[in-house]
Amino acid sequence: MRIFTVLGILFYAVVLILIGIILIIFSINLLQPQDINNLLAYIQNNINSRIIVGLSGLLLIVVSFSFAQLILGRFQREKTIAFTTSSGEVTIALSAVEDLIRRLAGIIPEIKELRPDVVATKKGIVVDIRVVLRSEANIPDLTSRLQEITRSKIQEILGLEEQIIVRIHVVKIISAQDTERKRKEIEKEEPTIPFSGYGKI
Amino acid sequence: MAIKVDIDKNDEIRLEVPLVIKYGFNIPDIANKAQENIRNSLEKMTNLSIKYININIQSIERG
Repeated sequence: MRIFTVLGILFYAVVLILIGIILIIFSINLLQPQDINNLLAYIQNNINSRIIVGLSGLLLIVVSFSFAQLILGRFQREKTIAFTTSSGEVTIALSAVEDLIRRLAGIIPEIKELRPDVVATKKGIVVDIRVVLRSEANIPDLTSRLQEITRSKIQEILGLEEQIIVRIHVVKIISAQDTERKRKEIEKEEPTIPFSGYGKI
Repeated sequence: MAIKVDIDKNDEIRLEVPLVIKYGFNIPDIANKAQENIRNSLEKMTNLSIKYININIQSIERG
């Protein structure tokens, strides 16, 4: 799926670049209206060229439709996890599951920041977590602990038997000195308010 | 977040209830309890029959 998206984006980038180049060439007078006219006349007169142009047009339409469908399909992706009870349906917004995972950052002190992305697929629930760690953390230990905690918390709170796949991506490791430096920089950048102490006893 | 109420031709009610749940609670349990309580209260107060009570969990907040 991802490869098709990349190919589609590349295709549109190439088409737009070509249009851009043609417009630039036209604007700097390298391409005369007569040339365009000749080219069009040649295509019009030659049956093979007409077939090629027609097929290219058809291909463009097909590619555009498939690409639009792919993109729209992704936007219309299921945004909830649902199950039924005797009284009706219960839907859980995936953003609610993301809220739940975000709370886990507080449990593990080595995690500075945590950004989850939850997707419900036919295989089960796929959780992608991007984490910012503090430098003292042991990454293999921590990530496996985080995976286990995430999986058990989701299962415990959602009460679902579905498979939960937890993928972790460590985006940054910050040292304690970094945090301290940043805090000092912010303090330094804070403007002093004139007469802020005025009137204080 | 608003509760949606639909009444069909047979006077049957269909409810859509958005909920925000506190962190640490089991969602199916809470959803079941909410559905039961809503059903009991409505049936007692209105004499209408309730077809569905759909619960939508919108987010999980710090308890």
